[in-house]
Formats: sequence, C-alpha cells, structure tokens
Amino acid sequence: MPLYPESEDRLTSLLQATNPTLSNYTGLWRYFTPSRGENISPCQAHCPLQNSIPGWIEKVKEGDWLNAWEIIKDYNPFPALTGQVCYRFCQEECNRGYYDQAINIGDLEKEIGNWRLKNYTRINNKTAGQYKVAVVGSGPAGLAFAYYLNYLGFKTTVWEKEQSAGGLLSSGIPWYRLPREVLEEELKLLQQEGVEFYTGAEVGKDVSLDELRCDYRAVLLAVGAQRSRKLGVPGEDLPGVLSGLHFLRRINLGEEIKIPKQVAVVGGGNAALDAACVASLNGAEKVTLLYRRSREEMPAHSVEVEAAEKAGVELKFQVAVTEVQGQGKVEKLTIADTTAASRGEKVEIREGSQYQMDVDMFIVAAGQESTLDELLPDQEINVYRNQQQNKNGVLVLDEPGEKKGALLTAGDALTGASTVPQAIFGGRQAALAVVRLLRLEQNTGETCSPALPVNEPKETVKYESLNTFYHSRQDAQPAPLAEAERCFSCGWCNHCGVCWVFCPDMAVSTAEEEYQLILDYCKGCGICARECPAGALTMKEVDRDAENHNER
Amino acid sequence: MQKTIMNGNQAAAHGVKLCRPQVISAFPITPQTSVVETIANFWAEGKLEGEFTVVDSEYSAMSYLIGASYSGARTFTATSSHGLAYMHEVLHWAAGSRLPIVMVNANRAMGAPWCLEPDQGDSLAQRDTGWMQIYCSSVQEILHTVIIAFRLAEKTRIPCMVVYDGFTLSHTYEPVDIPEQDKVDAFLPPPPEKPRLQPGEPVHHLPLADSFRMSALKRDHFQVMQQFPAMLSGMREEMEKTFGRSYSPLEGKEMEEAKTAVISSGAVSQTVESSLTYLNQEGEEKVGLIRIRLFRPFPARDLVSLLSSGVEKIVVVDRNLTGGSRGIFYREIRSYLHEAGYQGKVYELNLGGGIDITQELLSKCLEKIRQELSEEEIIWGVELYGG
Amino acid sequence: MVDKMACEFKAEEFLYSGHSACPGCGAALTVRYLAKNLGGKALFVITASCWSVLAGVGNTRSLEAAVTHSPFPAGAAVASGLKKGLESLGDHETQVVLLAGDGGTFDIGLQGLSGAAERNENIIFVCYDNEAYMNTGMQRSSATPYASYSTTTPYPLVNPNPKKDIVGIMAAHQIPYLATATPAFPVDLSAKLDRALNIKGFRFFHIFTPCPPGWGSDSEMTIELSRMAVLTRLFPLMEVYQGKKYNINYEPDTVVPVEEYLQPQRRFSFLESHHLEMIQENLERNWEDLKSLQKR
Repeated sequence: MPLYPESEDRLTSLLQATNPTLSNYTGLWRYFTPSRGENISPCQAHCPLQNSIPGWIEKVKEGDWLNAWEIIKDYNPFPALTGQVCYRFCQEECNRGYYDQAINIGDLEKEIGNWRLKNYTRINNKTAGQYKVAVVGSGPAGLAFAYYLNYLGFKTTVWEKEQSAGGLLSSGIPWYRLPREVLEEELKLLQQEGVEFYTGAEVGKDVSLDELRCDYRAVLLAVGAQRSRKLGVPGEDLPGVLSGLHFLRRINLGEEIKIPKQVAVVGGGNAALDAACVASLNGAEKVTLLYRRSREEMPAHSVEVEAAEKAGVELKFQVAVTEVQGQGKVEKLTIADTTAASRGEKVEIREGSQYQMDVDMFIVAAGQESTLDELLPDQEINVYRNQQQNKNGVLVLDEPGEKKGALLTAGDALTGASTVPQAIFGGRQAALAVVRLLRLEQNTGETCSPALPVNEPKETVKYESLNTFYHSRQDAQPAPLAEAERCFSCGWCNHCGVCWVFCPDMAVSTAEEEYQLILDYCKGCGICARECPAGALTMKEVDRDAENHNER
Repeated sequence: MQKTIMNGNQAAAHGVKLCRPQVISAFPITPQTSVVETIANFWAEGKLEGEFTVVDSEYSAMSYLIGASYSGARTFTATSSHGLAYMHEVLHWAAGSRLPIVMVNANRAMGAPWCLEPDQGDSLAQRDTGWMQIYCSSVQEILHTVIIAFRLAEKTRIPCMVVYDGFTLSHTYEPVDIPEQDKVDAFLPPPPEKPRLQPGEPVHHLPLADSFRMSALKRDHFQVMQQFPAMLSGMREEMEKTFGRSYSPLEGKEMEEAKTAVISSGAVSQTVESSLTYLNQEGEEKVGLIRIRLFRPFPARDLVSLLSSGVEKIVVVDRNLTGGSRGIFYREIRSYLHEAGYQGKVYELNLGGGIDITQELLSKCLEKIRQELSEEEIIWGVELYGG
Repeated sequence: MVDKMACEFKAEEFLYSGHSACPGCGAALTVRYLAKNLGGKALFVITASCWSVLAGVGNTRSLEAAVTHSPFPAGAAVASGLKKGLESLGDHETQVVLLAGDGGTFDIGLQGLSGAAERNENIIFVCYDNEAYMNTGMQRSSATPYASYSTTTPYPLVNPNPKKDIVGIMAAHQIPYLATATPAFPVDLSAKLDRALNIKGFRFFHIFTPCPPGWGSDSEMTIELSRMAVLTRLFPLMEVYQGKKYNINYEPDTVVPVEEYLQPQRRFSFLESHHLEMIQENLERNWEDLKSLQKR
C-alpha cells in the first residue's frame, strides 16, 4: 500500500510520546511507607501533661499566638501559671540540649499564657449548660476541671474553703515563684468565661457533700493533700513549731508574721525548701534545713534547692530531730546523726551523736497527706483506699445515680503531694471522665486532649536520629520568636518542606503547605525520613495484606 | 543561467549554496575537503546566510546536523571514506529519526592501507543505514543532484547521500551551468512541517520503542522509499524548468537492440558511454549502457523496463568488493534481474581499489565474456591490466 | 535555615511522578531541580544514560519539556547543532541543555564535549555523575573512583585509577562557566543554574549524584552521601569562570573523615588500608591545589 504522501500525524505518533508517566503508579513498588506521628518528642514524653510542645512552638515561631494558645489549651489551660512554677521536666530532656542549649520551653509557655491573659477571652455559648457540675477545691486540679467543663458548656461552680481561690497556688507557692497578679488574672478570666466561685465555703462544714451531690450531676473532690505529717517527737506541740504548709499559707496570704532570728526547717521536699527560702528572704538571720537522708535522695527539685542555697539557707544532711525543747515556746532542738539509708528504708539514729541547736522557730515540712478520708463516707473511702497504682490522674469514687451526681477525685487529694502540672493533668482527666460518665456525645478530643494510652507509649525521638545539618549552633535566645526558631520539633512535622525538597519522585504535595505524602507514587526510598530535621517521619513496613484487603 | 567551469567539489558547494542551507557542519577529509573550503569562502564573504561550523570529527559533524535538523533547520555536510565510516552510527540515527539531512560523499577507498583511489566501498558500506543514495557521473549532475536531494529528502523525511568519485569527479573540472536562484527557490520551497522540537511545547521525541513501534517505523520507512522512483519521475517537468534537463533513476544509453548491457555507476559510466560508439562499431554484438543513478532505493522496475528483450549478457561494473562475497552491485542487481525474469548471463567486472576504466579495458572485458566464461568467475580489472 | 530552603524553590514541578528511577535515585532528583529551574525555557537533549530510560518508555514522557535523545558519543554535538539550528531560524532565546552521564562525558563523549567546549557552543552541558556506567549495570568508567568495585573491575580487583579530573579538563578549555553541584545542596545548584542562564557560551555542570543500587548504599542515604562528599572535601562545590577564576562555594566548618563517607557504600567494601591512605592523600592534595588555584 503506497504510503506517499506520508501522513505527518502517523510519523509523529510513532516518533513521539505525549502521555505523562503519571499513569505508572510507582507507589506499588514500596516495601516501606513513610509515616508521620510515629514518634513523640522527649519534651512531650516527659511533661506530666504530655503537652504538645513542638506543636505550639511552631505557632510561636510564626508569631501566631492565637493558634499557639488554641493548641496548648487542650493540654494545659494555664500556661501563664505553669510557665512560672513548673519545674520544666521538658527542658531537662530537650534534644537541643545535646546540640547547644536546651530550648527555654517554660518561658515560651509563659509568653503564650501572658498573651492569653491580655488578649483573649472566650465567652461560652454552648448549650450543654443544663448540666451543672461542681468542684471542691480551687487548686490547679480544681481550676483545670472547671476550665474544661466550662469550655464544653457545663455550668461549673467552684467551692473553696479559704477566702481567696487558688489552693497551693495562692497559699503554698511563694510570691517570688508565682507573682500574685498572674493568679489573679487567671481567676478573673475564669470568672469572665462563666465559672462560678464560692469562696469561704467549706464542704463538710458550711455545706455537706451529699447536698452537693444532689445539686450537681458531678462533683470533683480536689481538696489537695493538706494534712501535714507530724514528726512524732516530744515537744512538737510547743508554740513556735508550725507545719510548712501553715507557715507558707500565712506568709502568702499576707499575714504579718515576724520571722525570728534562728529558724530550723525539717524536711526534704519542695515545701520544706520553699519554707526555708521564704523564711530566709523574710528576715531570718540564720535558716537551717535538716534532712534525714543524703542530698542525692532529697525529693525536692533542684530548682528549689538552688533557690534556697542562693537565699542563704544552710543545708544539713543525714540529721534528724529527736526532741523539741523549750519553756512555753520552742527554744532548742535535739538533733542526732542518722545512718545512711536510701528512700524506702527506715532511718536509724546513731546513738550518742545527739547535740543541741538553738532555734526561735521550728518548721516541720515532713510531708503532706490527703484529707479525703475526712470528707468521704465509708463506701467511697474503700474505693479510694483500694485503688491500684493510678496513672489516669482521676478516680471515680461513685457513678452518677438518679438523684445523686457522680463523685470523683483528682490532684494531690488522689496522688498525694506532687506538682502543679500533675494536678492540672488530674483535673483534665477528671473533666473527660465526667463527660464519659454523663454519656455526652461531645467530641472532647478537640478541646481536652486525653492522655496518650498508657499501654502504647510512643517511642521518643533520640538525638542521634535527628539530622542537625540544617541548624546552626546558637545559644538560648531571649526573644520568644527567635528562641522558638531553635526548636528541633522532634517527631512533629513543623512544615519545613525538606521532605518536599528532597523527594526524587515528587511524592510530597505542597498543597496548603501541609506536605502530605502522595502514596500513589512514593517508592519508599526513605530519603524524606532520613533528612527530616525533626525526625517526624518513620519508615513503617507496608502491610501488603491490609493493602490488598483495602483494595478489594 | 551562468555557465562556468568548476570541479565536482565546487559544484557541490554551489549547489548547496543555492538551497539556502541553515546549518552546515564541516570536517576535512581528502578528497572532499574543498567542498567545505568553498562553502567556508562563501560564508566568509557573506554569500551564505546559514551557520557554518567546523567541528571536531565527522561523527560530530553528522551529530551536529541531527541536532540542527531537530530544530527544523535545513542541514548539509560533506565527507568521504573514513569520515563516512566514522559517522556510521549516526547515519542510522538520522535515518531512524527521519530527518531530511543531505550529505555529499566523495568516494575514496577504505583503508588499511591508506588509499586515495575512488573505490565505492565507503558509500556502499552504508547502504543499509536507511539513507537515499544517488550516484553522480558528471560535475553538472552533482550540482543538480544536491538540489534534487534536498527536495526529495524534505518531501519524504529520509536523508539523502549524493555520491561521486573522489578525484575523478571531485577534482576534475567540467563545464557547468549554475541555475538561477529564483528558479531554485521555486523548486525548493522551505519545508512546510513543524519542527521536531519546539520551545514551549512539551513532547518526548524518540522515546524507547518496543518491537511493535520499531517494526511499524521500519515498515513505513520501506514503503516511503518504494515511492522514490515514481517521485523522481513525477518531478520531470519541474526539473526541466529549473535545470534544463531532467534526471531519472536509471539511464539507458544505446540499449535498443543491445545484446550486451554494461551496468555501472559514477564516473566510470562516462567512460563506458564514450566507448559505446567505438565498441559498437567494432564488435558484433551491440553493447548498451545502463547507468545507475538512484541506488537506494534501488529502482528495480526501471531496470526491468530498460532491459530490452534481446539482452543476453550483462556486465556489472563493481568498484568495490565485500570480502566474503563479491561486488555489491553484482549481487544486488543479479537478484533484481532474477526477479525480473532475466534468463541471460550476468558477469562482474571488478574495479575494486579504484582501478581506472579505459576503452581498452572495456574491450578486453567484453572479449573475455564472449568466450565461455562462467558467471562465477570475476573479471578482475587489475588482471586485465596485467597485474 | 530549615524553612528557608523550601522557600527558595518554585512549587511548580516539571518532572512527573511515575518515572521509573530506582528508589532514592540521585539523578532523578537532580533533573527535577534542573527542570524546575529551566522550566519551559529549555530544550533537553539526553545522551545514552539512565535518563534515556527515565525520560519515558513507549508512549510516556516524564519531563514537562521538549526532550529528545542522542546517541552515546554524540551528545555535545547534537545539542550544539540544535542550538545552532534554533539560532539560524532566528530564535536566540531558547536554551539547549544536554543531559549526559559520566560515561557520556568523561569517556565516549569526551571528544564531542571537547570540540563543543573549544568552539564555545552556546549550550548548557550537564553531566550527572554516578561514577560508573550504571544504566548497563555498573561497569567502570573513567569517573569511577579509585579502589571502587565495578563489574568490570570485580573482586579481587578494584578500580586501579583515580577519577578523571573533568573539572580540570573543562577549565583548560577556558569555557565561560563551569560549576560543580550535588543534590544535597539544591539551593546552591539552583543559584548556579540561574547564573548559567545569564551567561552566553559553553556552560558545564558536573553534578555528583549518588546511585543506591550501583554504590551498594541504602536508598535513604542518597542525600547524606551527597552531602558527605562535600563535607569530606572529596567533591568540592565550586565554580570556574573562563578557566581562570576559581571560586570555592562551600568550605565545611567541620571536615567529615572520608571513612564515614566510604563506609555506607558496599562498592568500597574491598578497601584495604593502603587504598584508604591513597584516597586520603589525594583528597588532601586536590583540596590544597584547589585552594591555591582560588588564590591565583
């Protein structure tokens, strides 16, 4: 068949190709798929609130305070407070610390909190308001509980026996660690947002627990651990001997106490150190702290110890008080050396080592216990006493009945003396528990993040697995945005785009700068995971059976 | 029409100048060097508008043209012998890409040893590359054929090689008519089609082909080439208008009532032609000449029509030798003759190595075949000389 | 510094997904950057190499650009001819880019490359160097480094010769612009391409591209190896103008020991201590020479 004149189209179609290779789904080649969110940053892992730290640091970096607040509030509604008083477990574990200096996470948190206090209030308009809930105690646990349930639309009331709210935030933690104004602002905002406060009203005296349970669908007992342990030595009841908690409360609530010249404090926890520090700063000439074990075994946080030492407190270790002496008031203490013993073991006095010490005031800060047993009737007390090692932060003492609201406990009242963030965690968990108990169908995942499942802890991102090439060494920066820039964002995609830059298959999409993986074409080479400066991508083995099943 | 005297190389250069080439690549090799030198002079004097580049080798020369041709430019180069062999790979590529490249090749023997004689083995060795091959027998023909080659190549998108004998034609002066530029412009308009590669138009040109695509391309190539003889015939009037004469794929001289036919190509044919009168006077049997012009594709039908029924003996003149076989023209023509139903004898006069042909030699050869000579025996030109 | 890198690039891609490169292919990534930068402004000619296949097989194409192929040794000549053809037709704007592997540059393509460079043809020659004939299965080329395994220098042999100094060769041609680059430093590559687009004449890029199957490295290591090559100073990032002015673009603050670069590649698993010494020595000497060339 003659071909001349030859059709140009025919020759062109034989010599050229026009179809893009998009029809070749190279995603089928994959044995491993890059996946985000498999690992968790060490800061988040060590935070008692499992705060999504890299998440809000990314927003701080952009100066987007509003969204930083929106993220952090789901974990911690009081960043202005915790930024001041938390011991910053996160910073101890910060991977940047292995590179140059740890990120000043606590200060960044504080900035978010301060911004929130100045700029943002949210008046609740939700309609779950037919449910009334109450919390007894306005410490961090109670306040967190109140915040979350109020946010979700419950009508929330706080019952506080002292004249001013705040619990240990107000009466326990000294002013140099938590300025009064910050607490007052937080409380003011809570009230503006709809939480009701009854101060000077003690449950068990001014109103009974049963009455509360009739009026409210759920009651949280967040009364703290207010009973100070006694030493059990003779002379302990003499005037001039007071518990650490009592001492701190009087000072913090503004009472005029004349601090005498010589003060001794016994105890090794944060309260003891706080008390010693406060005494020293308030006019004592000599403050001695007596602890029965060694320095290494002291439960107090190093922050407190350093503060006390800076304030001039003398720390004596491996000593115990055996007797308090004085005529009408405390004058002397009998002190003996103790044998070395680690925590949990009984301390032994070394006979013959006693000596005398002159004191004008003796503060006993030897531990606090929960006072729940004073409030609870027998049935619930048993629940409390029989509880197993509780990691959930909240204990349901009684389910809601037809006429009686649910009863729960959280915070120091449940766990014994601990820290502010742990208490907030408890309050948050209690709020979640209430929502579950009342069978409400709110999507609480949005506003009140549940703790990571205890059974499936995620792996923490190790420093060695981070690609630090894209960073340069730089010390901690005073300005918050500059400091937030230094964050490695361990395990959390902070949308830097490096995965997109280095993908040979263009299998990362830039739509809306989310850098989603296009699995149709991803060959699983692993470059993105290897190069990710945040270690946010992990290569997971492809489950062929699951994939085949999905396809069918 | 300007009448002048020039040699074959100059004729090629003048021919190409008239075609308004856009890219010319150049590399020297005896005996074509003065083609590119003449072109260089034109270019230096501003008489050639295209681009002229002296490249680093013949391989690069052809590769250069392939690139230029992709952009749609009209391209030309010249080479010979070892240069042609060096570009063997890219000759395949050019043909496979279906590019209308035109090249002249001055025949020269392939070494070893070095030899400057006009053996045709260099161009014939490239007969399988898919290029057109046209063999010229006079200097005038070279000039005209270059122009015709561009026309044919651009019409069919098959590259064309214009072949002529080294020294005998390339360096020999003959009278030549140079056609007017406007006549050539009318004969050879700019190619109408889209270039292969256009900026801003994404396309994948020449992707890896599977056997189906490749076979289709090969078949199309074959079928297009089959049309050439008809194309050439169809252009007769235009050629008359432009050149004052026309060219056909094969030319017969004194073939009416010829009993013996000599089939040859190139400058040899001129000698054969001029010997015919003498031979026919002297000899008993009439001798005629069939001159091969178009070799690839071979115009088998035209051959058949030129062979009158009385032809009993055919002498094919081969100025080449394929080791392990025999003269290339012999083998090919013999098979065409067989297809055509020719029953007579076919002999080979082998002038491989560039042996010159003379009237005397031709006589001797014809004498030899008058005796009972087996077709298997090659008539060696070198033996006839007494060598 | 991290976010800034992604901002340097246009979002638009000119290379389609679905191309058949091996997972982690350095050459695919390199051409992705090339195409992104040259966009619709260039015509591409591809010489026989892995990219002959990556450009698309059968009825497909992976580049959003006009692309054609050339025989192995012909690259520089075809690209030069194409550019000349465009200019002869009046188009002086469109760039012609040749993409060749190390074989098509250092070995079989060297003649054409030298010719085109000497004539100062107005093209951009991009050599993506994976240090062997990878498309045919890892045979040695003159770009294969000293002591490397290859299928034509198999154990107990190793490649006995040092890598050909293509940068020196091209500098000797005194071309207007010569640059080295590697995909781990994409911003650097992009800046160099921008510079090249504004220069007339022959521009040469030597791009170091790791090849996981050929080098015996994990597919995820491509960028890291590419980076280490620079941090060990084995592959300096540099530019040379007119063959005379040398400019080292990146001097690593901390030099990575060359063993760290060699260790993840199974092609170097037959190294003996004398090989390592030689490698270290050559590395040091080349770097010193380069520094003195920069001062000149």
